[in-house]
Amino acid sequence: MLTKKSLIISSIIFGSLLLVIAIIEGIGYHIINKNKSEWMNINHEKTDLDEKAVKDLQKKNEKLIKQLNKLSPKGIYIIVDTAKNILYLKKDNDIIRKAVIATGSGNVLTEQGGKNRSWTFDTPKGEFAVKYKLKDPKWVKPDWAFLEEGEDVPKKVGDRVEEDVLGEYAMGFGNGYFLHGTLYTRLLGRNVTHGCVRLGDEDLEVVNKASTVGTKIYIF
Amino acid sequence: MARIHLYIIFAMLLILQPLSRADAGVAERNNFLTQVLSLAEKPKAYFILDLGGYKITLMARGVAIREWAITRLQFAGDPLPVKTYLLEKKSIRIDDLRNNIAPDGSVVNNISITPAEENKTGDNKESGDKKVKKYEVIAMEINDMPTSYRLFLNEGITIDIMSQTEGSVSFLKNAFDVFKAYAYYPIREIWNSYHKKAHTEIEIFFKDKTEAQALFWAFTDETECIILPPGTEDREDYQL
Repeated sequence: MLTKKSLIISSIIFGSLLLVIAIIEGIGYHIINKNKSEWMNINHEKTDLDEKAVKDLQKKNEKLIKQLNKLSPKGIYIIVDTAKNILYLKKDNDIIRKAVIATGSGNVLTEQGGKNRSWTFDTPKGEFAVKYKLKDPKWVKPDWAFLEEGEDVPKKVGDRVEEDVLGEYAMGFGNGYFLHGTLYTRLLGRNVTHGCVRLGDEDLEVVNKASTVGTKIYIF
Repeated sequence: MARIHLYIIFAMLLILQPLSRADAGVAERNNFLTQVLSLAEKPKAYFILDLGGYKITLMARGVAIREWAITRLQFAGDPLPVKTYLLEKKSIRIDDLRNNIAPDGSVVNNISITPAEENKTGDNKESGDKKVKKYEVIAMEINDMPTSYRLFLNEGITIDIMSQTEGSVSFLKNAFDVFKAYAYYPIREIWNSYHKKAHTEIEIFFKDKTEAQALFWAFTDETECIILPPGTEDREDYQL
Protein backbone atom coordinates (compact mmCIF):
# COMPACT_ATOMS: atom_id res chain seq x y z
CA MET A 1 0.00 0.00 0.00
CA LEU A 2 2.77 2.32 1.06
CA THR A 3 4.70 1.48 -2.08
CA LYS A 4 1.70 2.30 -4.25
CA LYS A 5 1.21 5.60 -2.43
CA SER A 6 4.83 6.57 -2.74
CA LEU A 7 4.74 5.60 -6.41
CA ILE A 8 1.79 7.92 -7.00
CA ILE A 9 3.45 10.76 -5.09
CA SER A 10 6.74 10.37 -6.90
CA SER A 11 4.89 10.20 -10.23
CA ILE A 12 3.07 13.43 -9.39
CA ILE A 13 6.32 15.10 -8.37
CA PHE A 14 8.09 13.88 -11.49
CA GLY A 15 5.18 14.88 -13.70
CA SER A 16 4.97 18.32 -12.10
CA LEU A 17 8.67 18.76 -12.55
CA LEU A 18 8.40 17.88 -16.23
CA LEU A 19 5.47 20.25 -16.56
CA VAL A 20 7.41 23.08 -14.92
CA ILE A 21 10.38 22.44 -17.19
CA ALA A 22 8.08 22.33 -20.23
CA ILE A 23 6.41 25.60 -19.17
CA ILE A 24 9.78 27.29 -18.56
CA GLU A 25 11.11 26.06 -21.90
CA GLY A 26 7.86 27.05 -23.64
CA ILE A 27 8.10 30.57 -22.25
CA GLY A 28 11.79 30.54 -23.04
CA TYR A 29 11.09 29.49 -26.61
CA HIS A 30 8.60 32.35 -26.95
CA ILE A 31 11.09 34.88 -25.53
CA ILE A 32 13.90 33.60 -27.74
CA ASN A 33 11.71 33.80 -30.84
CA LYS A 34 10.54 37.27 -29.91
CA ASN A 35 14.16 38.23 -29.46
CA LYS A 36 15.07 36.68 -32.80
CA SER A 37 12.46 38.75 -34.61
CA GLU A 38 13.78 41.86 -32.83
CA TRP A 39 17.25 41.00 -34.14
CA MET A 40 15.87 40.50 -37.63
CA ASN A 41 14.12 43.84 -37.62
CA ILE A 42 16.83 45.97 -36.04
CA ASN A 43 18.05 47.28 -39.40
CA HIS A 44 14.63 47.45 -41.02
CA GLU A 45 13.92 50.93 -39.85
CA LYS A 46 11.38 52.74 -41.94
CA THR A 47 12.88 55.55 -43.90
CA ASP A 48 11.04 58.47 -45.36
CA LEU A 49 13.18 59.15 -48.35
CA ASP A 50 11.91 61.01 -51.34
CA GLU A 51 12.75 59.87 -54.83
CA LYS A 52 15.71 62.22 -55.13
CA ALA A 53 17.21 61.04 -51.85
CA VAL A 54 16.88 57.40 -52.96
CA LYS A 55 18.62 58.18 -56.24
CA ASP A 56 21.39 60.03 -54.41
CA LEU A 57 21.90 57.08 -52.12
CA GLN A 58 21.98 54.69 -55.05
CA LYS A 59 24.67 56.82 -56.67
CA LYS A 60 26.62 56.90 -53.42
CA ASN A 61 26.35 53.12 -53.18
CA GLU A 62 27.71 52.69 -56.67
CA LYS A 63 30.60 54.97 -55.76
CA LEU A 64 31.28 52.98 -52.58
CA ILE A 65 31.38 49.74 -54.58
CA LYS A 66 33.85 51.31 -56.99
CA GLN A 67 36.02 52.47 -54.09
CA LEU A 68 35.92 48.96 -52.60
CA ASN A 69 36.88 47.39 -55.91
CA LYS A 70 39.79 49.81 -56.23
CA LEU A 71 41.13 48.65 -52.85
CA SER A 72 41.01 44.93 -53.60
CA PRO A 73 44.22 43.36 -54.90
CA LYS A 74 44.51 42.86 -58.63
CA GLY A 75 46.65 40.36 -60.47
CA ILE A 76 49.18 38.42 -58.42
CA TYR A 77 49.07 38.49 -54.64
CA ILE A 78 50.08 36.22 -51.80
CA ILE A 79 48.07 34.97 -48.83
CA VAL A 80 49.89 33.40 -45.89
CA ASP A 81 47.94 31.30 -43.40
CA THR A 82 50.26 31.11 -40.38
CA ALA A 83 47.94 28.75 -38.50
CA LYS A 84 47.94 26.07 -41.20
CA ASN A 85 51.34 27.06 -42.56
CA ILE A 86 50.06 27.32 -46.10
CA LEU A 87 50.91 29.97 -48.67
CA TYR A 88 48.50 30.70 -51.51
CA LEU A 89 49.80 32.41 -54.60
CA LYS A 90 46.75 33.97 -56.18
CA LYS A 91 45.98 35.65 -59.44
CA ASP A 92 42.75 37.61 -59.06
CA ASN A 93 40.36 35.01 -57.64
CA ASP A 94 42.32 31.91 -58.65
CA ILE A 95 44.86 30.03 -56.58
CA ILE A 96 47.79 29.36 -58.87
CA ARG A 97 50.06 27.75 -56.28
CA LYS A 98 49.53 26.31 -52.83
CA ALA A 99 52.70 25.80 -50.83
CA VAL A 100 53.47 24.26 -47.46
CA ILE A 101 55.57 26.73 -45.54
CA ALA A 102 57.06 27.34 -42.10
CA THR A 103 56.24 30.48 -40.14
CA GLY A 104 57.02 32.10 -36.78
CA SER A 105 57.25 30.01 -33.62
CA GLY A 106 55.71 32.65 -31.37
CA ASN A 107 58.48 32.00 -28.87
CA VAL A 108 59.95 34.72 -26.70
CA LEU A 109 63.67 35.22 -26.21
CA THR A 110 64.80 37.55 -23.46
CA GLU A 111 68.39 38.63 -23.29
CA GLN A 112 70.04 37.82 -20.01
CA GLY A 113 72.26 40.27 -18.22
CA GLY A 114 72.30 44.00 -18.65
CA LYS A 115 70.25 44.91 -21.70
CA ASN A 116 67.20 42.72 -21.13
CA ARG A 117 66.11 43.02 -24.71
CA SER A 118 63.27 40.77 -25.76
CA TRP A 119 62.16 39.28 -29.09
CA THR A 120 58.89 37.61 -29.97
CA PHE A 121 59.26 35.36 -32.97
CA ASP A 122 55.94 35.95 -34.66
CA THR A 123 55.32 36.25 -38.34
CA PRO A 124 53.70 39.68 -38.55
CA LYS A 125 50.03 39.73 -39.50
CA GLY A 126 48.37 42.19 -41.82
CA GLU A 127 48.98 43.62 -45.26
CA PHE A 128 52.49 43.85 -46.64
CA ALA A 129 54.16 44.14 -50.01
CA VAL A 130 57.33 42.72 -51.53
CA LYS A 131 59.82 45.53 -51.02
CA TYR A 132 62.84 43.97 -52.69
CA LYS A 133 63.98 40.73 -54.22
CA LEU A 134 67.35 39.07 -53.75
CA LYS A 135 69.12 36.30 -55.68
CA ASP A 136 71.41 34.00 -53.67
CA PRO A 137 70.76 35.94 -50.49
CA LYS A 138 73.17 35.92 -47.59
CA TRP A 139 71.90 35.94 -44.05
CA VAL A 140 73.26 38.71 -41.89
CA LYS A 141 72.55 37.16 -38.53
CA PRO A 142 70.86 39.53 -36.10
CA ASP A 143 71.77 39.71 -32.41
CA TRP A 144 69.06 37.24 -31.35
CA ALA A 145 70.53 34.52 -33.56
CA PHE A 146 73.69 34.55 -31.44
CA LEU A 147 71.97 35.07 -28.11
CA GLU A 148 69.64 32.17 -28.79
CA GLU A 149 72.63 29.92 -29.27
CA GLY A 150 74.25 31.24 -26.12
CA GLU A 151 76.99 32.90 -28.14
CA ASP A 152 78.48 36.36 -27.91
CA VAL A 153 77.28 38.89 -30.45
CA PRO A 154 80.19 39.57 -32.85
CA LYS A 155 81.39 43.10 -33.34
CA LYS A 156 82.35 42.74 -37.01
CA VAL A 157 79.54 42.62 -39.56
CA GLY A 158 81.52 40.06 -41.53
CA ASP A 159 81.20 37.60 -38.66
CA ARG A 160 77.45 37.74 -38.95
CA VAL A 161 77.20 36.74 -42.57
CA GLU A 162 76.06 33.22 -43.33
CA GLU A 163 75.74 31.96 -46.89
CA ASP A 164 73.55 29.27 -48.47
CA VAL A 165 70.97 29.13 -45.70
CA LEU A 166 68.15 31.20 -47.21
CA GLY A 167 67.74 29.30 -50.46
CA GLU A 168 68.11 30.69 -53.95
CA TYR A 169 65.81 33.69 -53.56
CA ALA A 170 64.53 36.00 -50.86
CA MET A 171 61.73 38.53 -50.99
CA GLY A 172 61.84 41.16 -48.26
CA PHE A 173 58.55 42.51 -46.98
CA GLY A 174 59.81 44.92 -44.35
CA ASN A 175 61.38 45.07 -40.88
CA GLY A 176 63.83 42.29 -41.73
CA TYR A 177 61.15 39.76 -42.64
CA PHE A 178 61.53 37.67 -45.78
CA LEU A 179 59.94 34.99 -47.85
CA HIS A 180 62.92 32.69 -48.42
CA GLY A 181 64.09 29.12 -48.89
CA THR A 182 65.19 26.63 -46.30
CA LEU A 183 67.60 23.81 -45.67
CA TYR A 184 65.21 22.26 -43.18
CA THR A 185 62.53 21.03 -45.55
CA ARG A 186 61.30 18.52 -42.94
CA LEU A 187 60.14 21.43 -40.84
CA LEU A 188 57.89 22.87 -43.52
CA GLY A 189 54.35 22.86 -42.20
CA ARG A 190 55.52 23.76 -38.70
CA ASN A 191 55.85 26.98 -36.76
CA VAL A 192 59.57 27.05 -36.35
CA THR A 193 60.92 30.28 -37.78
CA HIS A 194 61.89 33.54 -36.17
CA GLY A 195 59.20 35.33 -38.15
CA CYS A 196 60.25 34.83 -41.75
CA VAL A 197 58.24 32.66 -44.12
CA ARG A 198 60.19 29.63 -45.35
CA LEU A 199 59.33 27.85 -48.58
CA GLY A 200 60.55 24.72 -50.29
CA ASP A 201 62.84 25.18 -53.30
CA GLU A 202 60.27 24.62 -56.06
CA ASP A 203 57.60 26.76 -54.42
CA LEU A 204 60.15 29.49 -53.78
CA GLU A 205 61.08 29.56 -57.43
CA VAL A 206 57.43 29.83 -58.54
CA VAL A 207 56.60 32.54 -56.00
CA ASN A 208 59.75 34.48 -56.82
CA LYS A 209 59.05 34.31 -60.54
CA ALA A 210 55.41 35.38 -60.16
CA SER A 211 55.97 38.24 -57.73
CA THR A 212 57.40 41.63 -58.37
CA VAL A 213 58.32 44.50 -56.08
CA GLY A 214 54.96 45.75 -54.85
CA THR A 215 53.20 42.38 -54.90
CA LYS A 216 50.79 42.40 -51.97
CA ILE A 217 51.16 39.87 -49.15
CA TYR A 218 48.29 39.24 -46.74
CA ILE A 219 49.30 37.40 -43.60
CA PHE A 220 46.84 36.08 -41.04
CA MET B 1 -18.11 56.90 -55.77
CA ALA B 2 -16.89 55.69 -52.41
CA ARG B 3 -15.77 52.48 -54.07
CA ILE B 4 -13.64 54.44 -56.55
CA HIS B 5 -11.96 56.24 -53.66
CA LEU B 6 -11.23 52.93 -52.05
CA TYR B 7 -9.70 51.61 -55.29
CA ILE B 8 -7.51 54.70 -55.56
CA ILE B 9 -6.30 54.35 -51.97
CA PHE B 10 -5.63 50.64 -52.48
CA ALA B 11 -3.70 51.32 -55.69
CA MET B 12 -1.64 54.02 -53.97
CA LEU B 13 -0.82 51.65 -51.14
CA LEU B 14 0.31 49.02 -53.61
CA ILE B 15 2.59 51.52 -55.31
CA LEU B 16 3.98 53.08 -52.15
CA GLN B 17 4.70 49.91 -50.19
CA PRO B 18 7.43 48.51 -52.43
CA LEU B 19 8.93 51.98 -52.73
CA SER B 20 9.32 52.38 -48.98
CA ARG B 21 10.91 48.91 -48.82
CA ALA B 22 13.33 49.93 -51.55
CA ASP B 23 14.13 53.11 -49.62
CA ALA B 24 14.96 51.10 -46.53
CA GLY B 25 17.07 48.73 -48.61
CA VAL B 26 19.08 51.49 -50.25
CA ALA B 27 19.73 53.17 -46.90
CA GLU B 28 20.76 49.88 -45.29
CA ARG B 29 23.04 49.07 -48.19
CA ASN B 30 24.61 52.49 -47.90
CA ASN B 31 25.29 51.90 -44.22
CA PHE B 32 26.68 48.41 -44.86
CA LEU B 33 28.98 49.54 -47.69
CA THR B 34 30.20 52.53 -45.67
CA GLN B 35 31.11 50.23 -42.78
CA VAL B 36 32.86 47.72 -45.03
CA LEU B 37 34.77 50.43 -46.87
CA SER B 38 35.98 52.01 -43.64
CA LEU B 39 37.45 48.63 -42.65
CA ALA B 40 38.82 47.79 -46.09
CA GLU B 41 40.71 51.08 -46.18
CA LYS B 42 42.87 49.95 -43.27
CA PRO B 43 45.88 47.64 -43.80
CA LYS B 44 44.44 45.14 -41.33
CA ALA B 45 42.29 42.09 -41.67
CA TYR B 46 38.72 42.30 -40.39
CA PHE B 47 35.84 39.92 -39.84
CA ILE B 48 32.27 39.72 -40.98
CA LEU B 49 30.18 37.58 -38.68
CA ASP B 50 27.08 36.57 -40.60
CA LEU B 51 24.59 35.24 -38.04
CA GLY B 52 21.98 34.33 -40.63
CA GLY B 53 24.42 32.76 -43.06
CA TYR B 54 26.18 30.79 -40.30
CA LYS B 55 29.62 31.90 -41.36
CA ILE B 56 32.54 34.05 -40.31
CA THR B 57 34.65 35.59 -43.04
CA LEU B 58 38.11 37.01 -42.59
CA MET B 59 38.55 39.83 -45.05
CA ALA B 60 41.34 42.12 -46.18
CA ARG B 61 40.85 45.00 -48.60
CA GLY B 62 37.38 43.76 -49.47
CA VAL B 63 38.60 40.27 -50.34
CA ALA B 64 37.66 37.13 -48.40
CA ILE B 65 40.80 35.33 -47.30
CA ARG B 66 39.37 32.67 -44.98
CA GLU B 67 35.93 31.43 -44.10
CA TRP B 68 34.64 29.50 -41.11
CA ALA B 69 31.37 27.58 -41.35
CA ILE B 70 29.45 27.74 -38.08
CA THR B 71 27.75 24.51 -37.05
CA ARG B 72 25.33 26.01 -34.57
CA LEU B 73 24.78 29.42 -33.06
CA GLN B 74 22.64 31.24 -30.63
CA PHE B 75 22.22 34.84 -29.64
CA ALA B 76 20.46 36.64 -26.87
CA GLY B 77 20.14 40.15 -25.56
CA ASP B 78 20.03 43.44 -27.35
CA PRO B 79 19.91 43.20 -31.13
CA LEU B 80 22.90 44.70 -32.90
CA PRO B 81 22.73 47.29 -35.65
CA VAL B 82 25.08 46.84 -38.59
CA LYS B 83 28.19 48.74 -37.60
CA THR B 84 31.83 48.18 -36.76
CA TYR B 85 32.69 46.52 -33.47
CA LEU B 86 36.10 46.07 -31.91
CA LEU B 87 37.55 42.97 -30.25
CA GLU B 88 38.78 44.33 -26.92
CA LYS B 89 40.16 41.12 -25.48
CA LYS B 90 39.91 37.37 -25.37
CA SER B 91 39.31 35.28 -22.27
CA ILE B 92 42.66 33.61 -22.88
CA ARG B 93 45.65 35.76 -23.65
CA ILE B 94 47.84 34.55 -26.48
CA ASP B 95 50.91 35.78 -24.62
CA ASP B 96 50.16 33.22 -21.89
CA LEU B 97 50.54 30.45 -24.46
CA ARG B 98 54.00 31.48 -25.61
CA ASN B 99 57.18 29.60 -24.74
CA ASN B 100 60.24 31.31 -23.42
CA ILE B 101 63.49 30.21 -24.93
CA ALA B 102 66.42 29.59 -22.67
CA PRO B 103 69.37 31.22 -24.37
CA ASP B 104 71.70 28.25 -24.07
CA GLY B 105 71.32 26.95 -27.60
CA SER B 106 70.75 23.39 -26.45
CA VAL B 107 67.58 22.66 -28.14
CA VAL B 108 65.22 23.18 -30.77
CA ASN B 109 62.86 20.09 -31.26
CA ASN B 110 61.73 16.55 -31.03
CA ILE B 111 62.35 15.72 -34.65
CA SER B 112 65.77 14.21 -34.87
CA ILE B 113 67.76 15.09 -37.90
CA THR B 114 70.00 12.39 -39.30
CA PRO B 115 73.72 12.96 -39.80
CA ALA B 116 73.24 12.77 -43.57
CA GLU B 117 70.70 15.56 -43.52
CA GLU B 118 72.90 17.62 -41.29
CA ASN B 119 75.77 17.25 -43.71
CA LYS B 120 73.47 18.34 -46.51
CA THR B 121 72.34 21.38 -44.61
CA GLY B 122 75.76 22.16 -43.30
CA ASP B 123 74.12 22.81 -40.00
CA ASN B 124 76.42 20.58 -38.03
CA LYS B 125 79.86 20.10 -39.47
CA GLU B 126 80.76 17.40 -36.96
CA SER B 127 77.77 15.27 -37.77
CA GLY B 128 79.87 12.85 -39.72
CA ASP B 129 81.85 12.32 -36.52
CA LYS B 130 79.01 10.66 -34.66
CA LYS B 131 77.63 13.83 -33.10
CA VAL B 132 73.89 13.88 -33.76
CA LYS B 133 71.97 16.88 -32.57
CA LYS B 134 68.42 16.34 -31.38
CA TYR B 135 66.05 19.02 -32.57
CA GLU B 136 62.91 19.79 -30.69
CA VAL B 137 60.22 22.15 -31.95
CA ILE B 138 59.31 24.39 -29.07
CA ALA B 139 56.67 26.56 -30.60
CA MET B 140 53.21 27.94 -30.22
CA GLU B 141 51.22 26.11 -32.85
CA ILE B 142 47.57 25.80 -33.83
CA ASN B 143 47.04 22.75 -31.59
CA ASP B 144 48.10 24.80 -28.58
CA MET B 145 45.21 27.19 -29.12
CA PRO B 146 42.09 26.84 -26.95
CA THR B 147 38.96 25.16 -28.32
CA SER B 148 36.56 27.10 -26.06
CA TYR B 149 36.96 30.73 -25.20
CA ARG B 150 35.16 34.03 -25.01
CA LEU B 151 35.65 37.13 -27.12
CA PHE B 152 34.88 40.48 -25.52
CA LEU B 153 33.79 43.13 -27.99
CA ASN B 154 33.02 46.75 -27.20
CA GLU B 155 29.49 47.77 -26.19
CA GLY B 156 29.25 44.80 -23.84
CA ILE B 157 29.07 42.17 -26.55
CA THR B 158 30.42 38.73 -25.74
CA ILE B 159 30.95 35.91 -28.19
CA ASP B 160 31.49 32.42 -26.79
CA ILE B 161 33.30 30.12 -29.15
CA MET B 162 32.84 26.42 -28.49
CA SER B 163 33.62 23.15 -30.15
CA GLN B 164 31.11 20.34 -30.21
CA THR B 165 31.72 17.70 -27.62
CA GLU B 166 32.08 14.17 -28.86
CA GLY B 167 31.65 10.81 -27.15
CA SER B 168 29.64 9.93 -24.06
CA VAL B 169 29.68 13.46 -22.66
CA SER B 170 27.97 14.84 -25.77
CA PHE B 171 24.45 13.76 -24.68
CA LEU B 172 24.78 15.62 -21.38
CA LYS B 173 26.32 18.57 -23.12
CA ASN B 174 23.47 18.75 -25.64
CA ALA B 175 20.88 18.54 -22.84
CA PHE B 176 22.68 21.34 -21.05
CA ASP B 177 22.70 23.41 -24.25
CA VAL B 178 18.93 22.99 -24.67
CA PHE B 179 18.40 24.01 -21.05
CA LYS B 180 20.69 26.98 -21.57
CA ALA B 181 18.90 28.01 -24.74
CA TYR B 182 15.34 27.83 -23.50
CA ALA B 183 15.65 28.40 -19.79
CA TYR B 184 18.87 30.18 -18.84
CA TYR B 185 18.90 32.72 -21.67
CA PRO B 186 15.24 33.74 -21.35
CA ILE B 187 15.63 34.17 -17.58
CA ARG B 188 18.71 36.29 -18.17
CA GLU B 189 16.81 38.18 -20.82
CA ILE B 190 14.06 39.05 -18.36
CA TRP B 191 16.60 39.83 -15.63
CA ASN B 192 18.61 42.16 -17.85
CA SER B 193 15.61 43.97 -19.26
CA TYR B 194 14.25 44.39 -15.71
CA HIS B 195 17.58 45.90 -14.63
CA LYS B 196 17.88 47.79 -17.93
CA LYS B 197 21.30 46.31 -18.46
CA ALA B 198 22.68 46.43 -22.01
CA HIS B 199 24.08 43.09 -23.07
CA THR B 200 24.44 40.91 -26.13
CA GLU B 201 25.59 37.32 -26.00
CA ILE B 202 26.43 35.22 -29.01
CA GLU B 203 27.39 31.56 -28.83
CA ILE B 204 29.13 29.93 -31.75
CA PHE B 205 29.69 26.19 -32.06
CA PHE B 206 32.11 24.52 -34.41
CA LYS B 207 31.95 20.83 -35.19
CA ASP B 208 35.67 20.76 -35.82
CA LYS B 209 37.73 22.01 -32.90
CA THR B 210 40.56 23.12 -35.18
CA GLU B 211 38.19 25.71 -36.64
CA ALA B 212 37.75 27.22 -33.18
CA GLN B 213 41.52 27.13 -32.73
CA ALA B 214 42.14 28.75 -36.12
CA LEU B 215 39.66 31.49 -35.27
CA PHE B 216 41.44 32.17 -31.99
CA TRP B 217 44.70 32.38 -33.94
CA ALA B 218 43.34 34.80 -36.55
CA PHE B 219 41.12 36.93 -34.32
CA THR B 220 43.78 39.06 -32.67
CA ASP B 221 43.07 41.83 -30.18
CA GLU B 222 41.97 45.12 -31.73
CA THR B 223 40.57 43.30 -34.75
CA GLU B 224 37.43 44.97 -36.02
CA CYS B 225 34.32 43.23 -37.22
CA ILE B 226 30.86 43.73 -38.60
CA ILE B 227 28.06 41.57 -37.24
CA LEU B 228 25.25 40.90 -39.69
CA PRO B 229 22.00 40.00 -37.93
CA PRO B 230 19.82 37.11 -39.10
CA GLY B 231 17.59 38.02 -41.99
CA THR B 232 20.34 39.76 -43.93
CA GLU B 233 21.88 36.60 -45.41
CA ASP B 234 19.57 36.41 -48.44
CA ARG B 235 19.35 40.11 -49.10
CA GLU B 236 21.25 41.67 -51.95
CA ASP B 237 21.74 44.81 -49.89
CA TYR B 238 24.27 42.91 -47.79
CA GLN B 239 26.21 41.23 -50.60
CA LEU B 240 29.58 42.49 -51.75
